[in-house]
Amino acid sequence: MSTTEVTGEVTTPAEPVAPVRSTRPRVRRLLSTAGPLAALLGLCVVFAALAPGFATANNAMAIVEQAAIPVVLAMGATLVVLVGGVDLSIEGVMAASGLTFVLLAANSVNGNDLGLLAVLLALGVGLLFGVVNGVLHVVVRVPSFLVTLGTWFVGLGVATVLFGTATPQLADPSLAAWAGGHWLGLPVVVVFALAAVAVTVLLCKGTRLGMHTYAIGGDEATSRLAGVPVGRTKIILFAVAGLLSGLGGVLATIRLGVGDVSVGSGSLFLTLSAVVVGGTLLSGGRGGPLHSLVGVLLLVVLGNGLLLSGASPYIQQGAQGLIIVVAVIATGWPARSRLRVVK
Amino acid sequence: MTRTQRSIRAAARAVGVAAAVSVMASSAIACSTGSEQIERDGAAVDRGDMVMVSEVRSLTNPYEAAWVQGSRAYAESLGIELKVIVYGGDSQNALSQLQSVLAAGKTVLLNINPNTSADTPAIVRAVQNSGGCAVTQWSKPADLHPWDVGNGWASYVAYDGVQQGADTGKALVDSLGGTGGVIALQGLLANEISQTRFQGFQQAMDGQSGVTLLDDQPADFDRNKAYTTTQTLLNKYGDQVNGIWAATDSMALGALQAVREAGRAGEIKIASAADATPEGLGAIANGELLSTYTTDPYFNGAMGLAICYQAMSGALDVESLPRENREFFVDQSLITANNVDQFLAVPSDEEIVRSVQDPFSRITGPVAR
Amino acid sequence: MTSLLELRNVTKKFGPNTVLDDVSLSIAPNEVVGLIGENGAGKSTLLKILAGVHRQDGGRMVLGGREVSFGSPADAADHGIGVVHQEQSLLPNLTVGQNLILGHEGDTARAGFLRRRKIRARAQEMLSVVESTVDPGALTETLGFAQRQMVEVARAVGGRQVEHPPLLILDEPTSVLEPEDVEVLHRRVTALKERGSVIFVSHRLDEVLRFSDRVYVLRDGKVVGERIASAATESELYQLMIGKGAAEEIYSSERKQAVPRTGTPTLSVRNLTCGGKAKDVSLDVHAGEIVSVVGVVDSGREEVARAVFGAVPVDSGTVEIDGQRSAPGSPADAVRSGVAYVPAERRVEGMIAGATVAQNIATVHPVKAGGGRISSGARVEETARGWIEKLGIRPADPDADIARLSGGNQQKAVVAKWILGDGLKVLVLDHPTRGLDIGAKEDLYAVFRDLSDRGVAILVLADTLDEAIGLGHRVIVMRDGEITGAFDSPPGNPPSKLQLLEKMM
Repeated sequence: MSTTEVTGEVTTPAEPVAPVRSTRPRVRRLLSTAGPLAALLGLCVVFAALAPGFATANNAMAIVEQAAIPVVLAMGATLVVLVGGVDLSIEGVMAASGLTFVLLAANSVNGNDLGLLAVLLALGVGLLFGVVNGVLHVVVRVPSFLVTLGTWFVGLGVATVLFGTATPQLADPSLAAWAGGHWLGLPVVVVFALAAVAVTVLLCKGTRLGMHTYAIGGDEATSRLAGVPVGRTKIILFAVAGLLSGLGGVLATIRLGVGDVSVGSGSLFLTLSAVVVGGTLLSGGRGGPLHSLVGVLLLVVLGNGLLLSGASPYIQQGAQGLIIVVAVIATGWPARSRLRVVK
Repeated sequence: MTRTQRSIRAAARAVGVAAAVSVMASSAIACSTGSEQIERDGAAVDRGDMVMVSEVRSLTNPYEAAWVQGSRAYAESLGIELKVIVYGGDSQNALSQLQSVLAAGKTVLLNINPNTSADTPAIVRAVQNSGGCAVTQWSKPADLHPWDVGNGWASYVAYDGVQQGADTGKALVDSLGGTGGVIALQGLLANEISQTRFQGFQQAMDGQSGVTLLDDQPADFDRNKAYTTTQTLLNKYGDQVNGIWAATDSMALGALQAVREAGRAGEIKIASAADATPEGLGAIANGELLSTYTTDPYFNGAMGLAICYQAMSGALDVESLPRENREFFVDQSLITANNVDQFLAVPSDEEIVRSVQDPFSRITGPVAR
Repeated sequence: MTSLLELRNVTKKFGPNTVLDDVSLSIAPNEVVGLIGENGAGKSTLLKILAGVHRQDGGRMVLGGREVSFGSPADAADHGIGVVHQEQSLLPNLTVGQNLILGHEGDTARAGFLRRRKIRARAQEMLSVVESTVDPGALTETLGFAQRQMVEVARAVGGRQVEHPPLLILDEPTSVLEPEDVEVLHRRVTALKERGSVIFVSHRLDEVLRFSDRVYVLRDGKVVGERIASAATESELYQLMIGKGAAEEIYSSERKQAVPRTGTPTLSVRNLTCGGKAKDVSLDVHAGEIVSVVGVVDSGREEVARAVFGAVPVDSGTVEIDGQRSAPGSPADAVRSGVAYVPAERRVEGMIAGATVAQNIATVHPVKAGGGRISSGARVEETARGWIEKLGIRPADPDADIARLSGGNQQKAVVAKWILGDGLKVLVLDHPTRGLDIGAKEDLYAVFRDLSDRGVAILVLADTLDEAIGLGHRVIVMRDGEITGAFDSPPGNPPSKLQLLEKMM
């Protein structure tokens, strides 16, 4: 305290309710950014040594290809998580879009042959689901968890109705060629994945919408008071997520070659795990699309490496679960002292 | 909060408790096995008092879609109402939907593909207690037999997974000319049929020495997982892989996709051990798949109902059936390019009904456990 | 123009309550105006009307010569009124620059895309107004508290171009600042005066007088006084605020009885080292004695208080209650030994927001409150009503959500829950009257006085030196984890604040 004279009332300040000091946020950010990346590189090194066939160009391409569709889905999921919500409807939207696509393109069940237009319309279906999610969440104020749980099953229902009784097989050769084909030297799905990543990164880092997203995720009430259009932002983000789920559904359907209501089965778990493992906090405001990209790669590399190293399938499953738990603990660790109540 | 509001809250809580208690009580009653057995004195039941029930997991599965079609053909031929229950892989749902039908009053004739072995006891007992008749297929606990439960559980029908695995494994080995390397894709590791098929496959492998098993992985009956697993294994073993065996069509087709993308279609032989889905049959017809197996879902869908109908109309006395007719394997067929044409066509309703005039006509033997 | 802001006969009602009654005041350009009043006097409602959160029911608001009425906070902001609240309103995960432009991005965004350099330039501009050297690219959560506050001031002041000078409202800006930061704030506010005017709201009368040119006093929704700061005294302001006599009486210090310090002390702390801060502390509190502990940050007094209650593990040393060795492993143990603890962070640790007043009161001693092991709702309510009346908790509704009560009433409920138990021997009070208005403070002091008469030993971490001297029979001073001084404080011969300060630094 300075040696100015003491005049009048002098209060003895209590321990200031200051925010966490500089070191802890830095450690937390370091852990959440560099941690998953370090883990990914570490895994690659370990598997290169232990698993035969891991460190080959073919395998690397296989990994990237297997990661492509999950990456597309993860971009959408990341946007919603950043703003503090969650989108559980991925599998339903994939199913609905996938069936829409296959029934509009040349197929074995009806006479349609809309080609690329079928893709666009299917994306439109995804967009529509996303808008519904956003509007119900924002306007009717239903928690996103519940809304998307509902649209998940609505999506599956729509897909089942569209499916009818016979499996529609995709008969459009140019679209079917996307499954094994290459554009610019890369597999088609990978091109889509890279595009999705690029667009999402640009959105998050370089646009006002992105800044608003992080603001809302950081503290929604404060953002609202500051003049951020919270409702509109959220609806846009859910819509984009729906669009990306639709894209995932179309790509997965092309790869399967048939319309299938369970085309997205298992995607939700993989996508959300990747988002969490990558370091995007479920509470919002932290992380981002590049984090989730690392998360997806981490999980795909893990599965691939364990398979190649000859680990028993039981170990494979157990290991994947364990990684997720460890990742959640690691990203949540620095904040735990502030989280006295754990739900 | 005012006093009124507090009273309302307390009342709501009381109602909630009462509701919970009554739900528990009614489910306890529903689950109890020894209550209210309706005695069947052996008298025949009138057609108008019957309702036929065909219960499957989902209708988007080609096998089950065909099964239901078979059930429908048979029920229509007799003019009896058919209820189709789809339980979506949820055991609780399977039981509760069935109970609603049982409670409706008519005598129930049930033909069901249960979700898991563990579901079978509750299902057959429920039907037994209501005085109906049930035929279950594909899965039951090994130590529980129809004759232990009563006449309400007429028969249990199963398919010899070992035979499926062995035949298709042999077909694969033969197609490779006796030498080479293969990888195997199992279904769900904990699933019984999956295990028996793989067992059969391994028998086929043991019976020769030129072809080696490079790797076996579960693909959970999932086409996508089969695709990614095959892709990874092809990278691992490269040229060593000459053939792939998969426990179902869905996984075989997933593997086929991976093989195509690796540019090795035609070079690698792929054999499926089951299902004979239209897509699988099509792939055999144009040479992309080696084999599959059919258990004739149309027949299965109709046969279970036929057994029950004959029992309830008095034509058959369940009590006096030999054990072999209460628990049996049904004839199944290996399908390869040689005979695929026979199976491509969907049987007509008349053909289905005709095939179950003697529902026991395709018994191949008792369930070998 | 003669005045920057003028309020003429402004009235605001919430339901049947008239919260602002015919309030008229004016603020000239380039002046700092202090606004004081007890909680419930209408200060926060007045601020909310200025900030655009509420609209007045009657009267007019004239800003920069033009009549205005705000429909939203954005509206008020567009008119050049900026508010810096007590709670932090910056997003920790955004950069300083982003926080500064958030919500009114203007030309820093073109076609939806952010223009980095523009943001940086605008941020620098806004920060220079408040002479802050913070880096606009820094992540907000890495800043210290005082720096963040400067950014908030910059955000509130900067940006919008309006014809009249901006008006900045500072709502309790110093309550959690260290003294040297208060200095800095004072300098900046003085500098800001050249650009616009400031409304300074605080409970700390000395600071209000120091920062302001003029002071308005609100009481019961009316303006009861306007003084030139340099000519006013704190007690004059107190009098206006509470409409009663001198401040010293609120401690009822004349009621202090001499405490016989014989026999076993009720609370005996010996060589206590705990919490990483307190080292080898020994003190006694006898039955019926009130011991105040004062000290600056890191003095260790908070840790000692919490260790007595078992909320902080003891590294070495002992705590004895009535001669019995007590090493409470947990607060539950402490309660059983007859120790009660009223925490500093009322909202976080003291009360259960969302529960009713009655439920909160019954928390610690449910058996006593409920009249038996299976507590009867009616008995709990009865107990609660008794305490509500005794402590003057308003509104007098046991079913009210405690979060809705004013700070003082919440604190009374929190204290009630502890003292309703029979076996209370030691009461530890951690900044019990922080943030409360005079009336509430006085009521609580009376309660503590009653308890001390009843024989309870009280250990209090005082907010202010005056409180320590007025309330306590003895005052203990701690610094850097150790006790540096102890003074008796009988009525009529209290130690001087200077004496205490010497030992504190």
